[in-house]
Amino acid sequence: MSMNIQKKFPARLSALLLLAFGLSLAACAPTATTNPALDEARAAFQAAQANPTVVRSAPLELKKAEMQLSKADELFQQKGELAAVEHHAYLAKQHAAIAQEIGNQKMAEAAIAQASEERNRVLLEARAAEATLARQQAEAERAAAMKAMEEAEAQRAAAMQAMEELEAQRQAALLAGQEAEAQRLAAEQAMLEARTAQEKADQLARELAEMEAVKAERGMVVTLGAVVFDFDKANLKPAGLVAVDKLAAFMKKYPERRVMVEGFTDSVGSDQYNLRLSERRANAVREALMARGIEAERIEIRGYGKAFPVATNATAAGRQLNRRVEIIISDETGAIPPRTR
Amino acid sequence: MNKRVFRGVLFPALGLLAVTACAPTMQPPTSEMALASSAVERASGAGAYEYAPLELKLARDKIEQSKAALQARDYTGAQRLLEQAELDAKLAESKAATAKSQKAVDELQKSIEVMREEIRRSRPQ
Repeated sequence: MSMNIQKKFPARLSALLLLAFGLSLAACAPTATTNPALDEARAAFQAAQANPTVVRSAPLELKKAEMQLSKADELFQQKGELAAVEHHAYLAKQHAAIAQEIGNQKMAEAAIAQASEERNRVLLEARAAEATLARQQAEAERAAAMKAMEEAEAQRAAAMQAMEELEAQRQAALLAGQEAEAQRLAAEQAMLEARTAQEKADQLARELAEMEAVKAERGMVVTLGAVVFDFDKANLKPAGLVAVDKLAAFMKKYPERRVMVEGFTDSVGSDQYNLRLSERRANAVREALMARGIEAERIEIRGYGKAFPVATNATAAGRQLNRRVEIIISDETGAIPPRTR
Repeated sequence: MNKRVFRGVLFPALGLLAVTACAPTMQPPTSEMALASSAVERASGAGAYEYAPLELKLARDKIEQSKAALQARDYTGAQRLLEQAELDAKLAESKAATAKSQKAVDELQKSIEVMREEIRRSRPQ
């Protein structure tokens, strides 16, 4: 057992010694293959260099970082003072950090520019929206004003219509009043005319009565009897002239009236002779009327001879009645119905 | 001229020059201090207090530390701190600028959204 141990011991010891030697060697060399500060600085520099924004915006700081890193590396390779290596590594790291910060700043500035642009765009949008709103409001107001105007116009038109209707009613009332007045006047006039007509008729009747006119079949007839003509004579006696005066006055007063003067004889003598005599007697009356200013065309004459006797010719008294002139007075139109029997 | 005096001055001066040439960080980093301070000022003016307080604090702390290093005549350490402080401040300024731009973007987008909403509401159905 002990042999076994003694045999093995020197081998183990030598291995241990070798390990201790190696350890002492490593301890004696203060510069290891890596340095944490240097690694950190290198990583920082490489990160900064990998950022395109940093490369573009901070070339000077990057260059300084690189120089300090090289310096630190060089010192490290030459196994220089550790404090010096770490100092330059620190400077390299800080330059890299500053370079990164400049890059960040550039990006922030770009963001500001972009945001400003965006802000302007939004501002424009806001103004456009405001303008749209204002336009819509203006449009709405205009529409409201238009509507109000139309309503006012409609009211005005309605008022006008009402006024026109009132005016029409007023006119109608006025017209009705005027018509009533006209009717009243017409009635008055009619009454007056009726009274006048009545008065005229009365007057005419009185005048006809004065002429001893008799109402016969053909109208009013005035008979100038035997007393106004002598036997076989055609000139008027004074009594006849008085009657003619009255007739002339009547005809002057009623110019629309015409007369038919008809002469008659008794049966003594030839028919031819009596016809002539009756014509002459009628004519005598006509001439007397014309002498008193009565127009010839208003006087017609007829001679009927012994025809149409009003009494018997057998006696002197009867024959006297037959010797006569009958004057038929026309109506107001001037018409005289012809003798029928 | 006195040759002894010349030698007495020249040799020590030459020796000093040689020493300084061999140690380039021996001089105090004045310009680095100025650069770092102005970078911190610019970052503060750009609103880094609000938008990048971590980076700004880092820069300020490093400037303070550099002052301690200068006291200890550690010019190399001081210079490194100041160089780092300048970059920290620059990063803070840059972050503030980015944040402000991003804020502007957000506000713009918000206003756009408001306008869009107004348009939607004002639009007659």
